[in-house]
Amino acid sequence: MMRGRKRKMLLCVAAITAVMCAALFGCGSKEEEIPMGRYADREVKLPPGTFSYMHSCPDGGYYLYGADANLTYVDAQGESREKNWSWENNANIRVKYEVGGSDSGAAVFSYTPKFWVDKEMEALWISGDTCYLYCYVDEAGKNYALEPHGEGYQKGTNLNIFAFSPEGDLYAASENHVYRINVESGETDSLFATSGQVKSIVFADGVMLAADREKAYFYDMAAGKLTDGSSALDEFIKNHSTGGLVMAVSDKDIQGKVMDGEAADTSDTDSADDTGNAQILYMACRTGVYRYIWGGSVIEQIADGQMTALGDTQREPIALQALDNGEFRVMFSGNTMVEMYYDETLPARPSRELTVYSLEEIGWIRYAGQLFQKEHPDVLVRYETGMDGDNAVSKEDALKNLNTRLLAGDVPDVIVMDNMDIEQYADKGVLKELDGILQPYLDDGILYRNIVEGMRMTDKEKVYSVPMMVYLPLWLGEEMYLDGEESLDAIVAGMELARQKHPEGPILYTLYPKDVLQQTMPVCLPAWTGEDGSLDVEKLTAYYRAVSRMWEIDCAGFDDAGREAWQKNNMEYYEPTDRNMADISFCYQYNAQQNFGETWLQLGFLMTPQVGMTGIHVEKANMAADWQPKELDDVVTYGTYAGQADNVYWAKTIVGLCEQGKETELAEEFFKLLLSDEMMRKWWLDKPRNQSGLTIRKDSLGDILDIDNIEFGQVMGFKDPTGINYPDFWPTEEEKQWLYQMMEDADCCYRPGTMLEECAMETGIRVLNGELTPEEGAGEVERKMAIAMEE
Amino acid sequence: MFLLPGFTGVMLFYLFPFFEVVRRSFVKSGNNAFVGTDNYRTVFTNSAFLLAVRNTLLYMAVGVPLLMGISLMLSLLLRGLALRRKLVSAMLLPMAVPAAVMVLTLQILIDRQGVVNGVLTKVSEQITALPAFAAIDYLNTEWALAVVVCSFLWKNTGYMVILWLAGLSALPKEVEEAAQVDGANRWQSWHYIIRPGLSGSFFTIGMLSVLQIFKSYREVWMVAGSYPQEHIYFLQHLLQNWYLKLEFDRMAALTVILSLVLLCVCLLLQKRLEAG
Repeated sequence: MMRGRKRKMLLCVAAITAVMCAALFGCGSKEEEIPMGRYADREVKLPPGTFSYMHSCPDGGYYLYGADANLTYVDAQGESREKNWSWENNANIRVKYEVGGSDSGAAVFSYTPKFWVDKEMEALWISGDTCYLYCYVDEAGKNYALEPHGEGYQKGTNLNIFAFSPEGDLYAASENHVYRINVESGETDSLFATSGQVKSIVFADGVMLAADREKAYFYDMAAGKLTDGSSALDEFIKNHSTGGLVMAVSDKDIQGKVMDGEAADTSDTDSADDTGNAQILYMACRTGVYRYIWGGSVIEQIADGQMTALGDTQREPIALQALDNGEFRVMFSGNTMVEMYYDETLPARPSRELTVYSLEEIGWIRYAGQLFQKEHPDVLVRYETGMDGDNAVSKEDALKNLNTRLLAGDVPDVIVMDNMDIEQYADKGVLKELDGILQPYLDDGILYRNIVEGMRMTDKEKVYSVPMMVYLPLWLGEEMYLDGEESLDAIVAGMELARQKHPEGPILYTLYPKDVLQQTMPVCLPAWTGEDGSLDVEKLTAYYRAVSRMWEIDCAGFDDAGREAWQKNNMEYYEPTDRNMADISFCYQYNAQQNFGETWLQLGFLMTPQVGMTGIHVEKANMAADWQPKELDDVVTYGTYAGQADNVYWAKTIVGLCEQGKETELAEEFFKLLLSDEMMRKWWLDKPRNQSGLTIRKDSLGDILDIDNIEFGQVMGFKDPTGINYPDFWPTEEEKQWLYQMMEDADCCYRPGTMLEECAMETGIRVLNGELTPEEGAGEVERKMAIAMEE
Repeated sequence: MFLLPGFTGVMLFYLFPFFEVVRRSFVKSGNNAFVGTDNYRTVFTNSAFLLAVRNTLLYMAVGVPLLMGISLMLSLLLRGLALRRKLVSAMLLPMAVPAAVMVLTLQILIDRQGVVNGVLTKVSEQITALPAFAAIDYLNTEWALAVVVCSFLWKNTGYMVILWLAGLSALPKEVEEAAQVDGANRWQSWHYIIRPGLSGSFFTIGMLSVLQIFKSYREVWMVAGSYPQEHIYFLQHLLQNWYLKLEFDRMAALTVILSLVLLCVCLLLQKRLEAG
């Protein structure tokens, strides 16, 4: 009896163990055959100019509405011709906003005027409400003022979306209403209310579909009423609106065939048009292209965003065109367009996967992933970020998540080490030694050896990661303040001199204590630790003394109310994490003219070798409207500066490879792609948005500085409307040589986000606020660092 | 058979992970090479560990008796009051306050420009006999532990009062009444009747208080970060920082040590209670 019970018990334990093992380790594997065929994309070369809107035409062509007021028609074969058409005839336009085009080329746009004729509207404007005026431009290019009015429309309500129906009727949407507008009389009918701002309007067979971020509204235009919606579509829209969702309607399926309405009907609602053909709604967003058969209840993915340009989080889709042959055109923000086509030779899903990880999204890395994927169709590049913008994950949580993954053996192949502790990851065997890969580049003099050597770990004498870009320290000001001096004390002395000459206002561009620390810490922090990692308290104390004095000098130009007003006025451009204000362009005159009069000395980093590359300059300068040269050209100069450390460079986009990665060969190939001239040069010249840094490849840096490689439209984002002679701002040969020499000399690496920096920053703010003396502050950092070192 | 699902769950979610932690405590993280007791040796010779242990023990030694004593006294005072329920409910409020709000309140109170410094400055200004008061940055001086203990008491006293009251309500009233009739004073009632009757509650409340000490780390971290003033650098700081630094081997060793210590403490307490 007992023996039988024991046996049963043993059997039970064995069975449970077997089930658990099967659940944990799987039940064996079988080679799976991957089906062929998937959507791929190719970039479309747009005609010269910058385009803010695209309208799809039924013949497969499309209209491009230019930011500089022109209209270009591109036919189905890709031939473009600029039309004799402009919306610029109205001389009273200050800024243009939304555009809506029609099949004929006629368009409506909203704008704010230079001066107001209507006193009521002017009063609204003065009271702080942004209110638009509207202009209708017919197909011949004639401009008419469009003044919406009617019972359902309240004057001053802003219309943000415009769409012409195939019949030529104009529909528009405000924040919570959809209207029909007679373009000739301006008579406006309110059609229905929405819960939010409508983002897309499309038409199919007498029905208008308007979608906000939550819901799709189907409006029967003939009956003049809303019809039943689709809960599946609502759910989809709710989940896919972030990052842009664009729509197009077609009666062709992805094979280019007309879909039979009867066969396609998946619900009680009629999906067929008058001819019995099914209407298909195509939708494109970051996650891919989807289709929804009009009236149905199923939304099907037909292209994966991750394997196409749609997955690029740096650009947002703004228009979609569904072509009769099953292809799609997607226009993106940033003046780019891709064609998506079905390629039967590609495997439906890649058989291999390369995982790239960074704490924060880096457009350049994503772009490299797309390029790599194109070169390796059998590989999916999975780019993962620890702190993507959509959630509120802190750096510490992101690192914990990464470490948990590493602990579980889920190791990425390539890892971007920005804001991470490289020593720690190298010590623990996460990072792979890169000397073997880098040696040929160094032997051939392709990379700046000093920058690579700056990344060598002192205790192991190996290189585990390399920055792809660097920033170099640069000051900008009048020569008398910092001429030839290179130390923290010299900067303080320069500021004192500037204060004597200019008793009021700021000297540096600093709003808060943190700004002084941010501008000076990168050139001092590398000097605070010895080779054994110990903290040099004397140097840290001296640093706190110097920055305290700098802050005192800067504050001395204001009383409390004045400082508050200065902070308030500058908050618009204030982004402390990005250190925008420390971003000094190579073309110093440009910045001087824009910034001087506000500050007398700028400390920062040379992030861009070209004018206007970062976008902030363009926005800040508002060159198109308000550019006014000041009389400072002769006195303002620039130079490199040192703090407590010499020849500092700020390492950006620091890439390492993981020792335990699953695809080590692919990872090496990807790393080489990042180091290639193609990536560094082409990306810079073709896609300058959101990109900054000086490349560590010598030849690429030379190419970037070659003005013959630059086009106005590419770099500036607009054509020279104010008569600024762009080449005048370009670096001279002498300036280029100076920059190359600086690159050759830079051998002391500053990496942001270290424990010491965070600690010194936190304590430094208290020192500058007078809560601690410099000695107390340094002592506090010492105590904390001692614990950290002991750990 | 009916124990099997529970047993499986315990195996899967408690014992297997614990055995894995024990295994990791004997290998080097990164290459998984067997290193014997090296990780344990590293932990015991690590001065950050020793500091963290000292602070945690000090926190426990001060916090637990204070919490237990204050809550017991309050429960004895509240025992006979008609407003008992309402007062107890009010005392529970700190438990309902989200950690972020609590941290914010704490900062408003103890900041260099906070309420406490403000009041003390005002008092020193009013009473000229007192020396001039200089504002203190409580969280960055040796006062830090006192601040942490105060916030710990503020948050947990209400809950402990409820537990004591539950223990007190389980005592037979007749015995106490009989003692009073026989002329026993309050002290004698407490010493000979209430205290022995509460011995079971002592164990439970003591254990819970120790656990609350460990749970209060979240607030400490939120208010002072990963590297706080050295008096409030606790074991959890060390564990958290080791996790961020990929020191999984040391973490595993420390976890095993802590588990053994806690187990020993529990067994000792239980044995002592059973004996006495």
